[in-house]
Amino acid sequence: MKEKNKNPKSTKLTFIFILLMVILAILQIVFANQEANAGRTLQRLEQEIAHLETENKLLEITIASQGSLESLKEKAEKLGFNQGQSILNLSKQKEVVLNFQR
Amino acid sequence: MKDRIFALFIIFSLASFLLVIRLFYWQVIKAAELTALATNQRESVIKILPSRGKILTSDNFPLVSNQKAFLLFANPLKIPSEKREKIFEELSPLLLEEREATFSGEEREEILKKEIKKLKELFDIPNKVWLPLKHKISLEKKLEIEKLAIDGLGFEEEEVRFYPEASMAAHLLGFVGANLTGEATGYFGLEGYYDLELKGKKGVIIEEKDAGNFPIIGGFFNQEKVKNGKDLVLHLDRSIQLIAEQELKKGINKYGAKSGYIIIMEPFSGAILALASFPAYHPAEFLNYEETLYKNPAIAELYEPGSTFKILVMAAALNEAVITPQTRCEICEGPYKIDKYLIKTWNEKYYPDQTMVEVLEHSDNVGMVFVSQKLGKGKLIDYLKRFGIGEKTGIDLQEEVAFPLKEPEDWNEVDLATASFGQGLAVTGIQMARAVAAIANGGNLLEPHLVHKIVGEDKTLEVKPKTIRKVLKEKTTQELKQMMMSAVDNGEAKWAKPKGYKIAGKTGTAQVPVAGHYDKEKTIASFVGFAPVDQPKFLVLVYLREPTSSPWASETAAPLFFNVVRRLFLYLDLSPEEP
Repeated sequence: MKEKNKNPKSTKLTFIFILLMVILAILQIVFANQEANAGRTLQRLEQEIAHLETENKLLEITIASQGSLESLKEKAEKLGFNQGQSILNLSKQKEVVLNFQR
Repeated sequence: MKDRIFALFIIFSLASFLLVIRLFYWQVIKAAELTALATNQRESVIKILPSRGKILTSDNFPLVSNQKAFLLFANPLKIPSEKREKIFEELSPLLLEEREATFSGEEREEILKKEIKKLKELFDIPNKVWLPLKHKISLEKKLEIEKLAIDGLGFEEEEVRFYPEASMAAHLLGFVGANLTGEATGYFGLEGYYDLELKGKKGVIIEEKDAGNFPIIGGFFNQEKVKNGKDLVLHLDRSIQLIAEQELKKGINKYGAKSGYIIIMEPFSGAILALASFPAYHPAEFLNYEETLYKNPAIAELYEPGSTFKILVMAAALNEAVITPQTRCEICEGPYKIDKYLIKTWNEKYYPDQTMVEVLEHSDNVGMVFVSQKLGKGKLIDYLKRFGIGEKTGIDLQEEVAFPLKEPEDWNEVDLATASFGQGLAVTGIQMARAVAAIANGGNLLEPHLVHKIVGEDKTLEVKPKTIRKVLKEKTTQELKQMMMSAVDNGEAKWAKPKGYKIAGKTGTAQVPVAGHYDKEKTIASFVGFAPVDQPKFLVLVYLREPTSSPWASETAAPLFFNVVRRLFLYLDLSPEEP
């Protein structure tokens, strides 16, 4: 009985050691779990970025197609616009008016 | 007892030895293989292909961009032999090129048979687990193939060039094909010249993944960043390019020419505002066109310049002060004999005592012989070199050529005379345009350029105008501009000129040399000019090969030039200077 009470320090140490082991084991599980979740999130974000990039490219292509001169010409013709056949230049008349004002 | 112990010892020793050998086998001999297997299991290597740079016009509109496409591949191990025949039949119509898909009847059957045969041959290759079946598949086609739900087929993303303005400026752009190793490479035009800048650099990501193939956050990660290709911003104005292309096509049809091109340049910077050439090809379907169409004739086709060359010889003589615009020709009363050759004028009309201004107006060959004699062989050759004749201009396009001038000692009296009116030497359109730009801009020979800016992810490089050398004095260019203006106002093509504008220019009708002599019917008609004369905003060179409606430039190239110029005045908001 006396012998048993002799080593309370070593019992305490053993207990702390085991507790530490358990805590570390739990931490390991928690971190591993978090890491796995973060991996999933990372992959989802990467996929989202790739998807947005693809969407961007598609929009870029649509804008370019819609803005091409050939397409603009077609739209203008559909709306009833025609190429001007005669040109009237007013620049010389403007000078006459300015001279007159002086 | 001793024997038994000894026997046991031998057995244990042998067993230990065998174990050591086996361990050596796994640990040393197979170590690299096993390490690689283990690495492969947990590490993923992702290769990221760079995006090829875009080519943009001066208003930042993409002439060439990129579109997502797919590579279709197969794993033959997952496609059983007995099912292959049926799969090939289902798949082959979806693998046809766009043009082939429009075929019908026997022609279509024939193409489909060929496609199936190709697939069979591919699948017959032994020990393959990955077979590339078709590159550059569109998203729509991919969805159609996916609908077939064939196990063992897969897709990899790749990019394909996209041309919003279709075949506009095809000769300038060039195209992207595959080199011998299958890598995307630019050929001809800007794609060829700037291939290194446009292509970028591949990237690699190596990272550890878990059993679910998700990345391990704290695991091994190594990244070699992808470097996308740089974008090219051109001086090219797409409205001016459209004007040039529309007028060129109309002109070629109207005058029945075999081919033609138009160069439009900003004379003070050498910036190319437009360069149209016809017949052209569609860069997206370059394989469907003849290879002879790939080269840009404005920089890769040599021709005898004919009378447009007279302005360069006249400029040299004026600059050397051996003549003035009012100098009178002393040999212009009739045909002029040199050696055994008789030099005549194009219409066999002769104007004795005409001034140099009139020599240009009449495009008089004899008058030009007079100028060349005043100038002398040495000075003429020297000026031709200074104008850059016989050397590449340095334009940023891949396929430029130049035909060097003859050595001075090889020039005889006849060569000197014929060179004065543009015969017996070969130039490219861009050489002529650059030389005449030197007259328009006050005497500086510039390097023509298409690219204005090279835009990278971290840096933008501006390509500044480059003056090669001073060729003419300012006074000479002023005199010559007036002479060229007079050639337009009083020359053969005056009927086509827009009223009220000051335009300097010169026609050129050159014969086509064929096997040692000149073809009697075929000509090359050209016109080079600039406007407004006092402060030129643009220089236009028009070239028509073998026009059939008339052999003369004054009736073909000149009216085409004026049609282009008329639209340019409107577009650039330039009003007439005279009522």
